[in-house]
Amino acid sequence: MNSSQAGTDRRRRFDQLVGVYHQDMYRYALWLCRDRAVAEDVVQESLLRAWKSLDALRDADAAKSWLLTIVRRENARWFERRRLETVDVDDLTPAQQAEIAEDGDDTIAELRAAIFSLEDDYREPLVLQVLMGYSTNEIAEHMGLKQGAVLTRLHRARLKLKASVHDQEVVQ
Amino acid sequence: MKDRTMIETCEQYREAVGADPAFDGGAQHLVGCAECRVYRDEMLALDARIAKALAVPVPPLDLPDLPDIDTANVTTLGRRKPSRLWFAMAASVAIAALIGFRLFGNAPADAMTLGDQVLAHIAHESFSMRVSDEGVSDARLARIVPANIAQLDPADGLVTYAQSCIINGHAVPHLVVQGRNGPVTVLLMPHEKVDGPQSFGDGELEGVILPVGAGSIAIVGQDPDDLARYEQTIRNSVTWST
Repeated sequence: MNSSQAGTDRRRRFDQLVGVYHQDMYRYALWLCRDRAVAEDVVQESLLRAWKSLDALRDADAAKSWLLTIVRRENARWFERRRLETVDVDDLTPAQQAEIAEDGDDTIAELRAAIFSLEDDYREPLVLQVLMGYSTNEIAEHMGLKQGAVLTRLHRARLKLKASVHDQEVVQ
Repeated sequence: MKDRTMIETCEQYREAVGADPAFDGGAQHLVGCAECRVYRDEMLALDARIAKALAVPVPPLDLPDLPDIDTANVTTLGRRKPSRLWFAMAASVAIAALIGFRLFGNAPADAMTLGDQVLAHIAHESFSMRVSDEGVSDARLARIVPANIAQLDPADGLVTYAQSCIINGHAVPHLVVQGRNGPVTVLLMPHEKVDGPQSFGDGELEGVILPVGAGSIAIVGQDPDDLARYEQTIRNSVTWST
């Protein structure tokens, strides 16, 4: 295969990956950083990094995990560069408020706000499990945790959200 | 967490189903515990709502400019289009050689001058250089330009574009300010040290890179008066050297 054909094939492979996983990448980035503009930056950087190291991806079945790992690292890099403090849900920016309210469904918006307010340690495994379909073993591997810690975090995250939903229903 | 296959108490079951509502163990316990069945159903219903809440709308895919893979480990900058390769301010042999490289092949990124890279980046994000009266939000500006980089005064001009971009492998704030005679690009580059002011241009845009402390700022626009006006203003806003 000549280099031109190899380059075309590489680009096609990349486009296929991005086409399949772009939504997951963006949503994961958004729930990590809780900011639309930052998430877009993180995804852009992740796509660049994925493009550069595409040849390291040998197993197509591992593509999703590989891309989400890149997003996780790029998110960490982004905040390392900015040295931003963690966002407090009580001090959401207008963009974040808009992000929460975008669905138009009040109950979902309230639950979204509750997820925004979860500590990072609880929010991330929940996103990986519910949104990305990861098993608890896979979450443990992805986050560098023991499975027991993942189970505990997931349980606590749901308890917090359950309590939040209950409080909202009581108020209404 | 206990062994999930050994469910004997309500607490054990609720821990397991709280960690994963799809948990299908503990069938024997469930048969005799109506409260845990209710709990499981609540968790399943909650998870359905969580899934819906997490599925936020996704903006259209906006692929970055992908570098040639041969140069991927050098820079993330896209190459400029050959049509804009003209350097009015640099007639040296070295620059001429560089133009030759870029017209007929891929110039290595480390052969590009900083001004060249700045122009290439602006060409890559040419959509940013538009006349607009729509400013970026204060929140976005604060994110892109942290206080330890610069403190911008709104009176200095309307910022209509703010993006974190990569120059020479470093993330730098890329701003577009609406100048009196057109948009002016400002790149704040705390990692790019230059020995003195460097002027550059390509026939369409004029620019200058000014040393500030251990870094530099690039100011690029179409009107020299606008550049002169912003030179001191932006320099005074920068805080990394203080």
